[in-house]
Amino acid sequence: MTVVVGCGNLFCADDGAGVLAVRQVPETEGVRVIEAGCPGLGLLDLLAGARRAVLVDAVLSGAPPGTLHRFGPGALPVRESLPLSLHGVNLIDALALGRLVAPETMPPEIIILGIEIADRTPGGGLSPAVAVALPQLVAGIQRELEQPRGHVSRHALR
Amino acid sequence: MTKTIKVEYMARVEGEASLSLDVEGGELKGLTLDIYEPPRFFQGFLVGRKYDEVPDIVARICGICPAAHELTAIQALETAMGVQVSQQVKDLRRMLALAQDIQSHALHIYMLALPDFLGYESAIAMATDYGEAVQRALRLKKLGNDFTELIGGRAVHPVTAVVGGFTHIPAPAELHAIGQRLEAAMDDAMATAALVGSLTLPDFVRGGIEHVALRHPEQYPVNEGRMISNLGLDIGPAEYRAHIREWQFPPSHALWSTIIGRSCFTVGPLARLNLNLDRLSPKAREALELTGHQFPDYNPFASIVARAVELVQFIDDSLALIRRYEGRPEEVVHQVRAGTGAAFSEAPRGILYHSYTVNAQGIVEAADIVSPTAHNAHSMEHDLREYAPTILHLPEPEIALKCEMMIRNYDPCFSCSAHFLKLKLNRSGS
Repeated sequence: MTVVVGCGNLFCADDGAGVLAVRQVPETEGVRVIEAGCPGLGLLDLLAGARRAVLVDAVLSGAPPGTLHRFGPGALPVRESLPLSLHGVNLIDALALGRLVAPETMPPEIIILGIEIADRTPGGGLSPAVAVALPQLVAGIQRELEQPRGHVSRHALR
Repeated sequence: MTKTIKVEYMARVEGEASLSLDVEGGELKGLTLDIYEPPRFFQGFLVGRKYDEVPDIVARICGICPAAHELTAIQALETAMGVQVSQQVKDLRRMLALAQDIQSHALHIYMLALPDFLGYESAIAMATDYGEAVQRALRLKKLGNDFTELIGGRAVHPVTAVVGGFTHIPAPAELHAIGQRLEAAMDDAMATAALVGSLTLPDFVRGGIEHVALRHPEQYPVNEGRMISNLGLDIGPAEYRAHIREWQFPPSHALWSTIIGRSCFTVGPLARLNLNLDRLSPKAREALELTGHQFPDYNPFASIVARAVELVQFIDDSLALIRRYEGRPEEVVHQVRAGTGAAFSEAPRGILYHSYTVNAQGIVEAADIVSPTAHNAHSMEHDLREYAPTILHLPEPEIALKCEMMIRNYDPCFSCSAHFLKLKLNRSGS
């Protein structure tokens, strides 16, 4: 099974772009679509048992807003210290912990689709550049799902 | 070709915090804890929405405690519109809250607090040496997650709880299956109590501290009760605003809670346990004895011990509710009417307050939400003001770590995009 997981806070402007994108992806046989929001370590339960996971999330990397990113978990920075609260546990921590303590439940293939965001003001809507790029993000998710089963992308091999 | 890009993954937007210490000649001259609270923004966002949209919106305030916000909002809206619910609905709500409490406490103890006390930089670093302990946490977490999903319909943002009841309820057999797993998890919870009891905690108690928690006539408090304190506070939800006031202390942007005529106060697992020791189940009392700690205890570092005792209490409580669950089908029927209503509950991190005014069409005209972190912020700063001078002789990274540990006791609902405390230490004259 493939899980498509949208992360982000829907009510904090561009931060919700990942959730908005997965909403436009229909569930089909063998594909489960989850609006995860900000699941913290709950992400591990959402991924457990899937063969393939497509995580869709907001990214800040300094690129122009609306830029789309595609990368594997190996491209994520390593976090060495503890967050101040469980609310600070993010995708990086969840994936790192999952790989370490529950590798048998983790999908063998994980792809992260990111969208560069500009604004994360609570209560705000999508900024223009992110709104324009959103359909391309949705198309990007669809492309991942169209790949033949068993195909492992080189991006995800790292 | 594989392209390596440097991605600064953003922390979720649930708030930010920074701490600044001004030290002159080895003495603490000033301290500012600045926090940012998203619930404030949601209040404005809720005005003009229909009452039945509110639970789903507030569930998204916090990724860790969606059920607490949802259930507290529902109870406040029911008070506003004069809606009564059955004992079965109350029991299901209590189970939904307990399911979330079990997850939250297991993760707090093992992923956040234990690495601090055992001297690891993170749960990931700790997992290499304490693999079995981390597995224990993940088992408890998974169980809490499955329990949440069974009652709430979804594990992430529960959807079945609505004003008036539940849109879907589990079959008794499904709940009994969870019950069997909870019984088996009791060993993990008792092992947690024993492990936590073996820790050496920093010794720190702030004089005159006021602990505030809910108190129920019979139960350990979860979704209902009066708000009481060790200094004599005793109020119902409708009286909250006559007793609790918020002030802004520039340069902090946060509004800090104070009991009118007194000072700051502390909510959370430690306050809850201190004020409800006589409401513990026999099994939870056994866990408390296993820790070897004496309660009441006003040392904020003992919060991890309180959480371990509560973990047993929450499992025991869930089992009692599952045993009496009949799964009787009930229709959700209620009238929409104008009114104002408030409710509070014990979220994993302490008292959560919601209040709403709705008009005759069920449109929200006013909303007031105070999270456990907003209740605790003032107290956190007071703790740091008294604690920091005792550690100023240490190297700077140690000071930052100890201050972070103090904040992690509260497990506040804010996290900055830099993932750790932005500590600014201004030293002069030393």
